[in-house]
Amino acid sequence: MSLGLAQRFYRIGLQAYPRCFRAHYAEEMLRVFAEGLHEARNEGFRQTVRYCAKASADLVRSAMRERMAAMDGKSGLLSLAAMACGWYATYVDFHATEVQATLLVILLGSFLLGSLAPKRAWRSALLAAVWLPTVQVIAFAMRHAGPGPGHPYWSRIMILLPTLAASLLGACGGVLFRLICREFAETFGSDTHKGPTLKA
Amino acid sequence: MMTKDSADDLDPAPLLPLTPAVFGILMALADGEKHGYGIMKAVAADTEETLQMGPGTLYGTLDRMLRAKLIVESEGPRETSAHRERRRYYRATDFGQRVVRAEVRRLEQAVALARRKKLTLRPSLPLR
Repeated sequence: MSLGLAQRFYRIGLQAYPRCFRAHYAEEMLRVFAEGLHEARNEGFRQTVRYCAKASADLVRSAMRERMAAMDGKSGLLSLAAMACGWYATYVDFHATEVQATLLVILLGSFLLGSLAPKRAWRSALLAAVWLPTVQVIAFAMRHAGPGPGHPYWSRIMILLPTLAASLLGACGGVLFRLICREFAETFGSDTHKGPTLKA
Repeated sequence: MMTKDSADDLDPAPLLPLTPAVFGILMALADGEKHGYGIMKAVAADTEETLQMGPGTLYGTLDRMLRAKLIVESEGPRETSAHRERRRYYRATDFGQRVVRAEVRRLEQAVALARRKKLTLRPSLPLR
């Protein structure tokens, strides 16, 4: 395994950490990873692969922990709402006969989240979209769902495409709606305050 | 390697019990200041490889320990500072030393209780 390639992948993985954490520790983490990798390489190929697997698992785990720690109350609520939307869409998908109902739930949920928090709209859309394919794959692996058309796993993973399209479309619609509302409020709101107020 | 810091009046009790990672790092820094990789190696060696931290866990824990004033960043060994690369060294604060002593005392009490109840392992038995 090429040391440079592994380091490059690890550097990309560091993007999963919150920005301020990355600014403080990314270079040091990369250096520590490289030193460990160099040592593992001296012990053989198997040790190198083992080290890379461990470091990757550690990266995912700790990045999630740091993201959770960096999350403020509003972000946490929004993430919970996005996950709830994804879960409800999954529930609808397992009970409804038409796929449109599922997509409508994701579309409306993402629209609402996008209009509530435009800056985090893409993140909410992603969170809402990933649940359905994830649950489908897990359900199939646990033999709780029948075989689908084509390759059973791939066809379920590919569900991500329509769900992601619906959630991103909904999020964009929500952000646009928010912008229009703000413009509307600024235009008409300023008109209503043109006259003298009681305090003046 | 103990230093005076602004955390003299802090109480170690709310921080106990320490997580294995925090305890391992404070134990590693009891021998003196170390950089990240040095800490990682020392923790693995001290615990006979039972606690192996990756870079993510290490720096996440160090970040929390810095904020809790258990450790501070230091300049590193002087004799090699002219040639070494710029890297961060860490050392335990007075408060950090007090916290680790309090944790050791707590563990001693737990072991004493286990001995009284005859729950201690025979030395020949493996730990894992």
